[in-house]
Amino acid sequence: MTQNATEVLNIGKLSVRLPDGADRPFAVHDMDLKIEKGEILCVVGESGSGKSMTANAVMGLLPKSLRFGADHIRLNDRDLLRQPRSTLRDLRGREVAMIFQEPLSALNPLMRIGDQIAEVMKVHPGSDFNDVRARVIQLLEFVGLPEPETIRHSYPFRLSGGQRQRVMIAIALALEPDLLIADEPTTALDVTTQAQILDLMKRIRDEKGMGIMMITHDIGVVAELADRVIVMRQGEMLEEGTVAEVLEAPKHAYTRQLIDAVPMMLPKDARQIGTPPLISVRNLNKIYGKPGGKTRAVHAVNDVSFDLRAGETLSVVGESGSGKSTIAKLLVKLEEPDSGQYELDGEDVTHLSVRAFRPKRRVIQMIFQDPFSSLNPQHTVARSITAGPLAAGVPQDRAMEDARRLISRVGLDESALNRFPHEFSGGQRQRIGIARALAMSPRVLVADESVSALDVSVQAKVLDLLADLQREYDLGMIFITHDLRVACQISDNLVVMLRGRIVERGTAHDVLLQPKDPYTRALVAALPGQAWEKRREAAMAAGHRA
Amino acid sequence: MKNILKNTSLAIGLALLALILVIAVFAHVFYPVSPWQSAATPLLEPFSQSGLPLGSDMLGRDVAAGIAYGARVSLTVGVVSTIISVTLGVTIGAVAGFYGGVLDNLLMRFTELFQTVPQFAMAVVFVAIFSPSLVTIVLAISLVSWPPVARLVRGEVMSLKSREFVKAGIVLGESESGLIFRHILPNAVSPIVVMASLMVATAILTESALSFLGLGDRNMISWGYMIGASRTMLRDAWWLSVFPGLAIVVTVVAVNLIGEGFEKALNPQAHGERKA
Amino acid sequence: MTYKIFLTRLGNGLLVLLGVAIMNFTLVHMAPGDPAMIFAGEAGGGDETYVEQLRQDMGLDKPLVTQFAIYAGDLLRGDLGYSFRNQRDVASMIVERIPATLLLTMTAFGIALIIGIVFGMLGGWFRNTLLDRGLMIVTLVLYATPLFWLAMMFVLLFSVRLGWFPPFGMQSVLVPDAPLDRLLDIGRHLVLPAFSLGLFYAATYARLVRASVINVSNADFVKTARAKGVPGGRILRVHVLRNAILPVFSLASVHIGQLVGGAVLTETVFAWPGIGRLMFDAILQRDYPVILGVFLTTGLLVILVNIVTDLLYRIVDPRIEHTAGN
Repeated sequence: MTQNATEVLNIGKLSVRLPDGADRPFAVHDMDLKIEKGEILCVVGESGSGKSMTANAVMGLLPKSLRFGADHIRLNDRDLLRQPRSTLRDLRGREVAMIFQEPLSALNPLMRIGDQIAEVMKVHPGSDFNDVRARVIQLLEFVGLPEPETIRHSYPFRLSGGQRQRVMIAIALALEPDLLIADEPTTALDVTTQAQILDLMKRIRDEKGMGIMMITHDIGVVAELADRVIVMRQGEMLEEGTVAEVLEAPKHAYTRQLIDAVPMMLPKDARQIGTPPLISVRNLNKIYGKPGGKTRAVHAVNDVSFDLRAGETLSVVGESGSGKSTIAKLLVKLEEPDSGQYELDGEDVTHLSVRAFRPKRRVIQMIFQDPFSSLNPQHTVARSITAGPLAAGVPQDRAMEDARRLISRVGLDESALNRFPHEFSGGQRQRIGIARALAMSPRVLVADESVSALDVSVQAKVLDLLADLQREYDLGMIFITHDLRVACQISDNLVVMLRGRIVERGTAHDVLLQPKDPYTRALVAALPGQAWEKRREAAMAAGHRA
Repeated sequence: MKNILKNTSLAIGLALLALILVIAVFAHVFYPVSPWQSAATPLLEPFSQSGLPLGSDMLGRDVAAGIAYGARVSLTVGVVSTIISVTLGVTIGAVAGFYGGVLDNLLMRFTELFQTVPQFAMAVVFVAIFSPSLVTIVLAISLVSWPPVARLVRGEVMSLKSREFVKAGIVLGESESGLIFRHILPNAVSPIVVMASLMVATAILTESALSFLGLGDRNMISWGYMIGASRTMLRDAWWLSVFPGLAIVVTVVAVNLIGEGFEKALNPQAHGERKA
Repeated sequence: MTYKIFLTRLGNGLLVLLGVAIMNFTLVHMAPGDPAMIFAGEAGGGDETYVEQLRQDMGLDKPLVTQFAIYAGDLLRGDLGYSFRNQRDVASMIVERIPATLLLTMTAFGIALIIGIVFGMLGGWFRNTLLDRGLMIVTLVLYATPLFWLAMMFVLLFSVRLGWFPPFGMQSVLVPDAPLDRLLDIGRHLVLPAFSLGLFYAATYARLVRASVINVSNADFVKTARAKGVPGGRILRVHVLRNAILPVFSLASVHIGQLVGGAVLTETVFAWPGIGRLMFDAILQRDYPVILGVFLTTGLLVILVNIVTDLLYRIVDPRIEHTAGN
């Protein structure tokens, strides 16, 4: 029972039971954890590892259907397991606070920002902050929101995602608690916003001396932020240590695997491809909404030009709203361009109607983002894969034969063909989506954020598969992504987009390692965990020499 | 626990409805004499004479026989008008949702118009002008009940249209009809089924209200008519309005339970599980 | 900005009115027989010279468009036609009965809202408890009860058996002199009609609010509130309830229409001197100008009430102003 005076949280043997019929008995099993003041502990793991459950158990926010038990959950000097509900309620907000993944839905849409912050003071009478208004302004200033007086009176819908996450942090800090739990707080944010929020969290640790428990799936974030790390898989704690120990000398094979799956910023060797372009886009424009109309017109794609050749991978990178996905839609005719020229395989298809474009679908195919919505839940895998060829006039048995060949090629068993999408994992579904696109024997593949919904280890395997297929079929590939590391690993050439415009283009090597445009530089600089990255590259180089 | 509850809603609803269906279908077997014909002395109280458990009305007609034959009208009107309005609503909603743009705008304005206007008053006007009959009643009810279906289907179609598997269908070169009939509508079936079953209930209520106002089919006895005809006798012969009213309540509860059962059965699962 | 929204709303309302007018016109012309005969009342209702006069006025010899223009022009002047049966101007018959209908429907709407929101809130917050189950059964039955039958059962129980409330009318035969007594008298007459009309819709709202409360309870911002240490009661009041009531407002337009339609039945049972009862009498007499006029008026009432609820909605939900204003 000796407790270190600087320890804020100490959990002993926490287990969370899953309801009967789940794939395993425990969501979290025998978890031990402690956090000290002024320390950031990152709990890292892939989806289903139980990391969020742990956080929610501390907060008493687990769904009632889940039962949990532990030897102790000590917050400061109190064992939370032995406190009445009213005390637990009072401790939330006062001694421990939490922020969540989805800032867009985490604030009450009908309540002003200032009131939502002030509510913390209101429901915890006897706090040190008598002048609530002054405290709210002070908090808004601390989290770096401009014009706190205006923001205080605004409703959440007027704020961006990053701003709302700052408001959430202001709410969490309102009573200066000793422990902050952050559940994937930057996952829904763009990389530059993420960098700012991560900086803010470091400031909180250093200036307020709080203990922070950070739940994340992102090794880059861990490297950037953590003092100590806990790695979890399937509810089990695999290893614990300082960030240097865990990232640079992992003891557990799974940790090693997780780390290795993070793409490195090592571009492919530049290649010269002499063939004529498969895709040639000149001065393409797409505007949503009419200028002067009811809603503000958005110039989603502004004067964009590029070429793509067989065997080449061109990555289009940018943050949300940059227009990168609109380019994908224009290329496969899910949207019509307003002006410009689009040549596909030597033919001008800019203004072809959807119907007239149909024969061209055998040239260009697409892999989608969301593995859960990109397959019709009512159709068998075979039906999904053969639908395109059948619509193009391929005989039934030929189409089925191709489907069998392709499903094995993407690494699934032939029996998968007779099953339904819900029987597969996200990574498997994405493989099915790839097989469906290949069934049309295309020469160009457009992949729109196709690996961003996947866990990093699955992501690595799907990326390998795509690279193999590209070589095998000499495919041209347009790879839309927000993730610079992924883009770096897979592309020959790269364009960076900002508000509809291409701000920089070139080989992956030039753009990512020697960026010239200020925005590209900011993007590259915002990547979390760069110091670790450098050490990793050095270690790898040393490994090669040895 | 959830499973049992889901099953009880559906089971009770189906059992009740089956009973009512049997009564409706075999009304002429149970009561070979027309329900319009006098069977006993007028205004007999319930259970005062054997063979007339629910008593007789002011003309000596058997109340129980009226209820048995009345079930025919209620069920027929409920089912037929729902079929018509669902067909209408699905067509309009699917077209508006799939094609969007000006067409969608026009169709939704039209739908809104039909939804804003007091629907019961519209049905009354329709039946009154075209003279009351089973056909005009069914048409009137269909005319006023399709808008919610259209809005529901439009919403579903629009949301499904933005789902990636439909976009994938476009990219794979599937035809428009293929997209609508193979991808979109089959995935929108469950909410439509739930709504349709609740519409049967509303249609039964509307039919009874029309008949109550004297806008029923003169040739067929119905529960609403029986209640309306006995309105002035309320003080002296309570049974004339109480029993047909209970018949309506039980029928509508049964139909609503079935709708609820469907909803519970269809919603929590991922769409299309174990559907081939 | 608000008045701009008000104007658009008004414009939409006028469009709906035009729609109702077109419906009326179409129905009359689609119906079997001579429109003039219909307006004069069914066979034998009018004498030849009157019918001939009507034919002239309605322009039946002219093209349909002209006929509609004549009809629409009449409506714009507030001329809803002439009831030959009652030897009276339809518009004046309706106008004198509007207050009674408004009193009844608005009271019923209030009852429906209050009971519906309270029941729905309790059911949603204490979901799957015995209380919730009980409320669900009550609403299930209410939802299946014909309005007119519920009204009659109320009369049977509360007037005939218990004698608590008068069974029909809006005022006693001997109207009390003192204004306060008069108000109380009307109030006593109002209880049964308003409750029998309101309860059905209370059931609708209870189910709507219950589902909405459950939905909102699962929202992320409710979790935020818990994490802030907000007590349960305050979470329900401040965070859940206001958000959960929004769908009630957005569906109000549909329900007001239904409520006004339902008033036809309630007023019939209670001999309540409103436009619903007027419609019932007109149905019995096949007095078509009155039937059509009442239909048009109900449409107008709904549009007016909608404009009011719409403005209220804007106050409740700050996001609306944003989307409409941009």
